[in-house]
Amino acid sequence: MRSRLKWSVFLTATILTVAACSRGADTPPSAGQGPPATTSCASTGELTMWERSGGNKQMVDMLVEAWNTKNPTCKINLTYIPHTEMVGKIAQGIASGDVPDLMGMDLIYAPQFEKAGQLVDLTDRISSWPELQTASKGHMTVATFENRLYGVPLYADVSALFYNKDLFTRAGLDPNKPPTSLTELRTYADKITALGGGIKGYYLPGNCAGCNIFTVGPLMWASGAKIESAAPGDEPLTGDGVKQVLQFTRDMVKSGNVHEGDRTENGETFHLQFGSGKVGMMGTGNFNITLARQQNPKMNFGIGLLPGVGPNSSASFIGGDLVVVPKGSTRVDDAVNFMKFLLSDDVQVEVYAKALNLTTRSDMVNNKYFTAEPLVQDVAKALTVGRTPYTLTFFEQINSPQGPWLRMLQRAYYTNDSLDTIIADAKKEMKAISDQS
Amino acid sequence: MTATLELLRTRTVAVRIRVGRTGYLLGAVCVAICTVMLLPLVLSVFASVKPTAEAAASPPTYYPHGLSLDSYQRLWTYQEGLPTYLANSLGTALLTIVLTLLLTVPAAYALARFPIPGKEVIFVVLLLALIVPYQALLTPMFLMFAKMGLTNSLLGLAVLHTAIQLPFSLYILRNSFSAVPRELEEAAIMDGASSWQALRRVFIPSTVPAIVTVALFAFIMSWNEFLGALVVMSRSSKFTLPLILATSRTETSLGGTDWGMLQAGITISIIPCVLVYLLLQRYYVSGLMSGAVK
Repeated sequence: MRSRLKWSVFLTATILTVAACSRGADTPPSAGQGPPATTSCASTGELTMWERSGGNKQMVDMLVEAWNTKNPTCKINLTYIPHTEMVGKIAQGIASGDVPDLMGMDLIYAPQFEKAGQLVDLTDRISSWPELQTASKGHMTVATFENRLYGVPLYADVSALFYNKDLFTRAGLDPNKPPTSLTELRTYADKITALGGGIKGYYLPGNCAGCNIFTVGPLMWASGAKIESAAPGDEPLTGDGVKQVLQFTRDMVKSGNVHEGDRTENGETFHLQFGSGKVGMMGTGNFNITLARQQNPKMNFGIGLLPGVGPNSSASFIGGDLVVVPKGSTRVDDAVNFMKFLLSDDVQVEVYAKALNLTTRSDMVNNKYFTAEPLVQDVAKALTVGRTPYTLTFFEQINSPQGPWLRMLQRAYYTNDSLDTIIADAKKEMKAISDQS
Repeated sequence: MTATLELLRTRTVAVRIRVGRTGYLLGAVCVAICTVMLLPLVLSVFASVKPTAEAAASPPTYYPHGLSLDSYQRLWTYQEGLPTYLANSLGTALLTIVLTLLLTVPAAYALARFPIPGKEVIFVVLLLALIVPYQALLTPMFLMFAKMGLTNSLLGLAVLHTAIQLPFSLYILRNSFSAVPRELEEAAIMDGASSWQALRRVFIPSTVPAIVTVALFAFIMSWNEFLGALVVMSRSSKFTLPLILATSRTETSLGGTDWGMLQAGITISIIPCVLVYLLLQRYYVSGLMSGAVK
């Protein structure tokens, strides 16, 4: 896997270089004004779309199905690209001109492609849409580069604190009151761990950079800290919250509040941990609602917000995908109409909400389907406190398995090194990466 | 006399015991090695027939507590459906075998038997491609394929796989052709055979094990190859089995894996390789030897 990753990174770098050289100094392609957008197809003929595997497949399939039912003469032919290879594949497609008409993209990588001029600038076509006023802020932040707009949300993954109500009750805790600060979280975890029998109060993924920015990052944000360096010269890892959260996680590990096996978690079984019923509280995403139910139908669980050091502080990571149009697409009008379709009231309620997925517009959360499902309502609250990091070097600074973010956390979790030194080392590396971008 | 007989009997018994002991020991070692080799495969098959909830259990169970073909069903109906991907993989592998043999048999024949000036240098230069990792060639090859319209086609992928396989195949075949007794070739020529006839009637029949080895390696490489297929193919309907396994296994954006489906895919993808290997094992082993030591 490592070897494959290495080659993928190498290929991506080569292709991006080739693309950059062949592009010269031209500006990002703009789609111009175009015809007024509708929620139906502007022309006929099959549309091709790429989406990363391991995104919200069920949701994306439903959206495409809804579009295809409405537009039988211009159905979308959807191809899932292996999740870990998506960035390289897009770069390669753009370099060779072999691109789909539209694509779903992990929102976190969007700024990098926007800066490289590899996505179609849709500002003149979509920026005046009223739907965008309430579209997920995290998504819209990364869909924008230098005040130009390149996409709209496809779906949202937000992180929140899932807690096992059965274990809360057994530990003498109120199952309707999730912790609202890290101090409470620690106290509750101690009580749940004391139940014994292989049950632990909390969960920390020891070898997964992405899982940690998704679930530990918000603990820092909620404590007033900033993590990544947004641009050259920008100071990363600022605020007392960084050290406070690292101290909290170190204490959690040392006090035995997490399983020993968590140390090797690289993301492959992260989604299965909460449903095992052996974890009292865990930061995870809205995707875990359905998964945990399938895995452990009898388990009672609730969802709170990921807290910070101060009482009633909270934050969340807004992840998910954007729909964008790659440079070279010949069906920009149709792609724009698909975006309009995704943001329409009908699709927000009858496709997103009906499937108990988060709506990508905040004004659509009060709907009949969510009213009947309190857990989705709870997780939707995370959208209001959520954010999405904006940096051109997210992979290198944060997501890389060999990057400074994961190394910092691992040293904090599993060594006795001074936290100040750990933070200083990570800060230096992140700055160096950012300065090179 | 009796004493001698007695001594002999004692010695025979001792040897038998020793042989017996050695035999048991060897047997035990073989069983241990087989266990180590087979256990992952057995566990993989077990995991593929677990019900969905059990396949996702953490910590995992060793053997299935219930039987279910859910994982196979999910894979069978994933996107275009497993039969499409099996057909793509099989088609590419067969095309790769055909192209590899079409190119390497005449080339190896020429390099082994014809008085080409500097043929040793040519041979070494052709083998140099073994040193360059094929991944490094993928980007230029892809850009070339894009211009030639060979992307998203099984033929294009087979050409790429053939290019990867050529140096090794040439090495095996050239050595095998060199090992064919010159007298046989001379006899054929005396009987009026042309070079092509000599190749068809003398060289190919006497190097069948090497040719089978080359075909087998080409099949297994093409069947399992991932990165080239990823680069060349961008339509779901053209994906090969390794691609669809990588695609279908990821369940969450954080890299969560659908273990049941992954193991079902692994089990299915192993079957053709095992079958081909078992059927042609005889040729395969002797082919390797003929290429390696002559």
